[in-house]
Amino acid sequence: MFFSYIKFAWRNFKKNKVYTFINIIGLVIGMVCSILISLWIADEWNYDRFHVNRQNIYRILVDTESANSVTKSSTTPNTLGPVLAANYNDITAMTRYVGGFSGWLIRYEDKSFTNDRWAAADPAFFQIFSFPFIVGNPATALQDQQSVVITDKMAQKYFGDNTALGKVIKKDNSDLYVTGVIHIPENSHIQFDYLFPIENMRRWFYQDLESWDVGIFRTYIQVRAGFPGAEVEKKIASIIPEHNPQMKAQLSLQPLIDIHLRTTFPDQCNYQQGNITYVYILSLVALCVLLVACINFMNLSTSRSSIRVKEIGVRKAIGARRWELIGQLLGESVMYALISMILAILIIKLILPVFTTFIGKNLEFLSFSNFKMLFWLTALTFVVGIFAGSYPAFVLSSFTPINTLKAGLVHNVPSHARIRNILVVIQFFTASVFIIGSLVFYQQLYYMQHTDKGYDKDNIVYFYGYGKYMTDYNSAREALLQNPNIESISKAFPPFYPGEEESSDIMWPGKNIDKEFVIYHKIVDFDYLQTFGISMTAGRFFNSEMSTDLDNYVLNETAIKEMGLQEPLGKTITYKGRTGQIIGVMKDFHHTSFHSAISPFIFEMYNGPCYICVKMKPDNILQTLAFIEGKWLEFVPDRPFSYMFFKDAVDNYYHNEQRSMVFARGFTGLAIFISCLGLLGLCSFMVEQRSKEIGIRKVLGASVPGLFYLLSRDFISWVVLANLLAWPVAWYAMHHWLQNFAYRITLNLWLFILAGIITVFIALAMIGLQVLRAAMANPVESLRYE
Amino acid sequence: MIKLVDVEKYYANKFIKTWVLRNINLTIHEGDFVSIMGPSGAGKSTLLHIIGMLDDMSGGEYYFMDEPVHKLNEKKRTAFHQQYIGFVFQAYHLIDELTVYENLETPLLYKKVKTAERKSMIADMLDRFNIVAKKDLFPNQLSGGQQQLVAVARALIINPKIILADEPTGNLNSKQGLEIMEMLKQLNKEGTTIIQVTHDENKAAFGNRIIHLADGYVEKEEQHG
Ligand SMILES: Nc1ncnc2c1ncn2[C@@H]1O[C@H](COP(=O)(O)OP(=O)(O)OP(=O)(O)O)[C@@H](O)[C@H]1O
Ligand SMILES: [Mg+2]
Repeated sequence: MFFSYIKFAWRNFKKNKVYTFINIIGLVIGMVCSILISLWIADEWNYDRFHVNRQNIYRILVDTESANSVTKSSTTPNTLGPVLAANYNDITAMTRYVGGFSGWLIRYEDKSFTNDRWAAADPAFFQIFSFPFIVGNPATALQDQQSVVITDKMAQKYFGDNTALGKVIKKDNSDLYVTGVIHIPENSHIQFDYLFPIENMRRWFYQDLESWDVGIFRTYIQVRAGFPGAEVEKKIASIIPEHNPQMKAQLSLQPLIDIHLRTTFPDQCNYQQGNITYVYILSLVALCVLLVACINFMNLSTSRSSIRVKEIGVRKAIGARRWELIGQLLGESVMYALISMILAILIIKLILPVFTTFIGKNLEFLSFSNFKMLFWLTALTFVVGIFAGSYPAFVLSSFTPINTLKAGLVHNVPSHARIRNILVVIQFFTASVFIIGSLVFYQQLYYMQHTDKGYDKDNIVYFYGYGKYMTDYNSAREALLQNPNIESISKAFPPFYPGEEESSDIMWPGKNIDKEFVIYHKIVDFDYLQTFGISMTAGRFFNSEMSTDLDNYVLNETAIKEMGLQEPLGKTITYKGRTGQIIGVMKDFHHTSFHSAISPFIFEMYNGPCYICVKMKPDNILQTLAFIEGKWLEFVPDRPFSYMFFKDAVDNYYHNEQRSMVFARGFTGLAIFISCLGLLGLCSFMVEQRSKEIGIRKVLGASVPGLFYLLSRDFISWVVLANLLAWPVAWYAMHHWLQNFAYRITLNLWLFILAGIITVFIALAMIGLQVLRAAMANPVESLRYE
Repeated sequence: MIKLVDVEKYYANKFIKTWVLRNINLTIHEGDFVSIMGPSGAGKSTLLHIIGMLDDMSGGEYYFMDEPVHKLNEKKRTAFHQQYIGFVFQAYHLIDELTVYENLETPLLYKKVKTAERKSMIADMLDRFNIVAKKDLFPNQLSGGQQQLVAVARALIINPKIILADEPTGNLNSKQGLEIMEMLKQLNKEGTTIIQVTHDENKAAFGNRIIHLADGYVEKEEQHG
């Protein structure tokens, strides 16, 4: 019996090649999309979940309340961690952590590197986090101040195949002994190449580890297993003001597994922060693409089934049980799904390398030992097959045999036509929502990329100023400016957001001291304004002629506004204990992505070591870079030259958007494509069904436009209805999404109308194509059969 | 074996009811050979469909082997189809995607007949109807008459207790038609109940009862030997 079904289905496949092809192509695309997206989502979702203690690990956040909002930050006072661990029994372990930055010169024998990212942590780091050790003992690895734990990648780079344990590497003049080699999975929010005990931060970074001021460390705690984090949070919430009345900040706990996806503030972790919104959006996209493909499939099977009603009637009359018919029809549709799934798996296997390089993630797909994935894929196949085949299977098998046998009766059964119309509406509804969504998405991204951010980001490179840049900045600067292709040079610390110091230690006449006010601090020099193309709204910028400018301050518009200063110029303010005059107000610029509002900024000059930003002319960039590198060898002979383009750093803020954008655009295109395929199938079927009518009408003298009108009339009204239904849904969804941005576009009605026009156009084109085909055919052809 | 009491059938179209069968009272005994005659549109096919449980009645009672069909669920009706009823459609209704052989095999598959037995039954049928050479052809590769032969063969293959045949010889020449009639007569002698619809007086005469339908009513009934 089973074999005869297979044979039957196979003949049906062959007999209806176009239909089979459309059906399978649509499903394959749907499956490929949704599986790829699921892989990405699973990867995002699994961030930091490899830690054994993940349920009991929290990161401490500092919530600072300022005039208008609460600012969250993950940098805690340096001494917070040890104090917490000493005073609360529920906290079983604590580690401070800072890292992910590169630029330090590390030497091993005659090799030297600066690209490796350093990190520092307390000894309990490896007790809390379970990074797998390849060699070494996690319990003792950070005990000694001179120890260092390196990653497998770094071990390979420095020592080749030799065992790394016990080897000595040099940071400046200090020796560090390798006490462990670990592997850091890609989906860890903590990323570094080498990690040393935090004690070293005193001598290398001049950190006061007992300070209660805003520090540079993140603090992670592990609480007793099963102990609710909320309890701990309640106990420790207001510990900072007890020790440092200056700082009006509350503590809160962030579960480890929330860090990657649910951190709402720009974290300075130097890794690619995720965003739960995009996980949701892409889940939705995956689901929709699959749904569109299924609806498509269902649509085609349903319309197709009106041809099969006769067969079903006969089978019933000669003794087929109802469940046998249902089994046969569902079986056929599951078979389609299975073939599609196999094709989809092959395609994914083929394109996965391209996809992973494109999204910059290493995704794994279907090794046969992976039963969980096999299970899901099989489940997906069956769900899709059964979902798509359910209508024909359950409805057609329920008709009285004679109704299905009298040709033509069933597809006049109202419910049948109604179901098909509903399917058309759903299909176009989804397509329309997709189109609107991607248009809005695209507009917002375009807006973010092309709106004047208030500064120039092109053709600027930056590097840390060592050697002569440190000792004799001015002559190094002069030497570079000799090159006519270099426009200007400025110091900046940090060169771009994030990394600015935040402080509430600022006083000005008329300040309301009950209100916490946080201001960001940036170190600049005279040419900063020119280098970054920023302008002033009042007063003047720092001037090299004025020696007193070292004591003065420049603030941005937002700062002036939030501080409530009426006539800021000449006012005296005290920042971190140093008093100076406000000499100018800088025009606001978007220091970070459009997600966040512009923050108050204070600028000051500083003579010490700093990042050097070089603005070049757009032509001959490569020669200019070669020139800068040549000078570097002269000025900083003991370090290799490493630089970054400012633009890359800035574009990084929009990394998430850009990546999701490409995702969304690609997959929306595919969803639309699948919709068209479905519509094509539907139209060709409809025309095929009415070919006898078309033939007769042609013989009676109907024109092609007349036929076109006849066939498209009903269809178009359904497509229009689908659009009308889609608009409010799309509006709601996109309005919601736009709330993510402090600076955003407004939703335009014409976008919605455009989506409507696109879908109607697609529908008309598809019908037109089919009508032409039918109208070109010799009428006798279509009349002879039937 | 079959008892119809006040059976009626109408098609309701908005406000108008079109009557196709009215007031049908009919008893058919095991071993009967009944011929139904009447002008086109009289309701012959409809009556046969109702007897064959392929169509619903609008009113009345129908007992098949003392079971009230009007109250039976689908499962039970399907069981009757499998066990007792062989139906020959006026329009043949072969399955287009299956070969002659497979068309004959399908009812046996549903009846769960064993493979070896199935093969011999099909071979026997092909032989009886002289269509062995056509067994691997699809219905659209056959002439109308050949299709009709396959349709009759398919009805007979399950050894039904009752054969319902809607103009089983309409597309055959008189010699072939008579052969089929002889075959039915033979089956009838062996105990199979037969109800046929026909326009041909001669073929109607093969039966022991002739029922004349007109406009949905039983006009008259003749009894033969
Ligand atoms: N679905 C339907 N809706 C309305 N009327 C119908 C329907 N099906 C059949 N009829 C009507 O029922 C009547 C009887 O049809 P039936 O097929 O039983 O006639 P018949 O006696 O078999 O005729 P013929 O000798 O031409 O085969 C016809 O008048 C037909 O118009
Ligand atoms: Mg008839």
